[in-house]
Amino acid sequence: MLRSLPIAWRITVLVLLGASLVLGAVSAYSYWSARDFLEQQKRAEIRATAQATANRIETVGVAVEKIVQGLAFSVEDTDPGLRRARVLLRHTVASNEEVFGSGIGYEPSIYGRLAPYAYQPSDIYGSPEVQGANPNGKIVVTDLGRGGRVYQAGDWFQLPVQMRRAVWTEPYYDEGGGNIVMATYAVPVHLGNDPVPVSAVVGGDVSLFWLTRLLEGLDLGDTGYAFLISQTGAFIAHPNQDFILNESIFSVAEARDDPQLRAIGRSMIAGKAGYVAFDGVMSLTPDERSWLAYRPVPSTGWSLGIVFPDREISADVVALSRIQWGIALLGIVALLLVALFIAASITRPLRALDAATRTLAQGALDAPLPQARGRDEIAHLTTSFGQMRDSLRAYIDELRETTAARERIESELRIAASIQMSLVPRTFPPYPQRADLELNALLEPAREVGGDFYDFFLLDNDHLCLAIADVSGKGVPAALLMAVTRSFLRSFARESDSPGEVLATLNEELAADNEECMFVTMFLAVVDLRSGAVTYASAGHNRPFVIGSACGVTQLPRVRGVALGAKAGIVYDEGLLTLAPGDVLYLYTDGVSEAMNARDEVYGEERLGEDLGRLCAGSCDDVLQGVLDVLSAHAAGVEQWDDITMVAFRYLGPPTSGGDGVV
Amino acid sequence: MDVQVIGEVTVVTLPARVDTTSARDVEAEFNELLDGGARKVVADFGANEYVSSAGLRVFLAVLKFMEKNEGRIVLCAMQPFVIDVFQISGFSELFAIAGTREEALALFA
Repeated sequence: MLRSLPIAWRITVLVLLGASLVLGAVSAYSYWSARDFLEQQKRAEIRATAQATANRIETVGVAVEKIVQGLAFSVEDTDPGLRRARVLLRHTVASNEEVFGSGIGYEPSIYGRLAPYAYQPSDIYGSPEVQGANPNGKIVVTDLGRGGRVYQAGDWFQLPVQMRRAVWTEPYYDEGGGNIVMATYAVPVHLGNDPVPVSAVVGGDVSLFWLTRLLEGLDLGDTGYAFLISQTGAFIAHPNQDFILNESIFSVAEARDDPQLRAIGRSMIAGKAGYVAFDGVMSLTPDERSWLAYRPVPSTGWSLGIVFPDREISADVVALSRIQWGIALLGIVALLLVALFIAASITRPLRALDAATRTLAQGALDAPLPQARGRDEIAHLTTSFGQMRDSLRAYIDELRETTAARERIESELRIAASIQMSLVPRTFPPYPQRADLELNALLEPAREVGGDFYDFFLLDNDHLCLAIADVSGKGVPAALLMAVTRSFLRSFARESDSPGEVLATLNEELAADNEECMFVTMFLAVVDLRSGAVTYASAGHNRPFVIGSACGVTQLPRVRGVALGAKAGIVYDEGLLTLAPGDVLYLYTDGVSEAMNARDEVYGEERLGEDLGRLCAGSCDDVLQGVLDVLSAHAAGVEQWDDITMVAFRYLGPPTSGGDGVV
Repeated sequence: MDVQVIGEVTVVTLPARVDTTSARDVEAEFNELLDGGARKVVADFGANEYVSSAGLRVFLAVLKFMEKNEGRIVLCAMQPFVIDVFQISGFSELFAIAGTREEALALFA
């Protein structure tokens, strides 16, 4: 999938992947270590808060104990009357804000029901209801035994009497006294010579409302809270008001069937300190996962618990990591931009080159290439590409020129070939009605026309003119000269039956104004068809062969004569020959005798003579085709360089005699 | 094509083949010599094995130039095949042909 992306994106993705891995690892590591650190800090903080709060409660408890003990000592020592006792109580409550209320309960069997009690409803330690009713903060002094109340049944009276020592009562609702939930420190006193061990009980109250408010005032986050349990495990203070005095840590454990909570409860009421994970005590069902730090309040035997949800410890860590992740994300975005910029700047020249290549591929070789900057691989590529483009352009230009040149040459060649082929008679047999001769000719032009031609025509009913010629040079000039020569030949041959004269006349015409020094070799013969007598002349042409009917091959002797056009004023000698019926006169050009093979060896007149001897039995056409085959075998694939031109004429005897020349 | 100047005579040694292809070069070099004022020229065929009709044309052109410009060209040291070519075409009648280079040079003496 990555492969199909542009390089810039690929680089970017890979860089980002790598960077994300590193950033992720760093973030994860710092998250865990920060979380660990924060948790430890929070734990220490909770522990410290628990300890400080327990100490605060302890201080109040110890203070109340001391005040009540002092008051009890005073009562026992001076045995104050009722009036004096009320003053003492008012004074005690007024001067000790920790003490919500204080009273003395006398033993009813000796003193009757007498229990003076002073309390301060508006005190900060007091109850909210009473506070509202008595905003002046005045101390109220009353008697708990008034109206026939049985105060002596209360724990605060009974426990010291029974146990004969000072006790902290379990929290209780003090109906008729302070009318609030409280706990009382009660000290037994013995007065005078009373017959009972305990004459009265002196008590000091601590408001549980105050404790609740103290605990609520602690900074424990959004959902952290503190609670206080008594020596029996009952909730003294708890954010859930319904729990206070109604539930104990053990009843909650029972309801939940939670042995861990029960164990915690036991540890707490045993006065131990601890820090444990647990599920909270807000309800009768397990709360969320939390931590509990608990500390004893030794004086009262209570235990303070601070519950802190795990979630809130994590909240700080989450907040921290959120910042970290935010920074990481910003970093990655920044990295993305930088990586994209770098990748784009790396691939920009590549893309430019790609665009240039596309244009170039469509044939626009002149399209500009991007400038090669610097000396990096892309610059090298661009340079190499530019060189390739230049070579390609040069090559194409050259190709175009050579193609044009070749087409020009080819078209010239075609013109020359068509001139040449249009000027030679090509209908065989040429005189089908005549029984006295057999005639065949062949012109196999070279690729570049050599200017060969042959011609034959009847001068009258009894005289046949035969000619074969080779124009010097090649191509169109040769073809044109050939056309001129042929026209002269046709016209001059009819004016004279002497081949030598005809050639001489031809030579004068061609030699005149022959600036190009072109020339034509020609063999010209006039055959008397009645007798087989042949008069011939040669203008520098190859000597023809005569193939006898008995397969004897002879080459005609040389007759003087220079190639036509070379020089004016030449005289052409004539030769004479008599053909017997069946004899063949074989004319050819140097395209035959000088045909080359791959080793630059010429075929040669000698071999030609031999091969003609072997071919003598066939018709004229057979002879020509036979020589052509031999030449083809000789050349063995080497391109034919010159025109191959041959004429074979067989004299069949005078038409009236009905000669036996037919083979 | 090797060119030697011996006294007043310019001796040109012809290449192995004077065919359609090489004839152009040979003609160009002869033209250069003639333009340069050479009027006594020996064409040495000692190394030559083949002359085509295009080659003949070059020599004919040189010959005609010499006839017009009071110069002279002598051919020499021809091998049998080349002699055949000159004889068949009748050109042997137009040119002065010597057997050896020395004989050719002697003709200018």
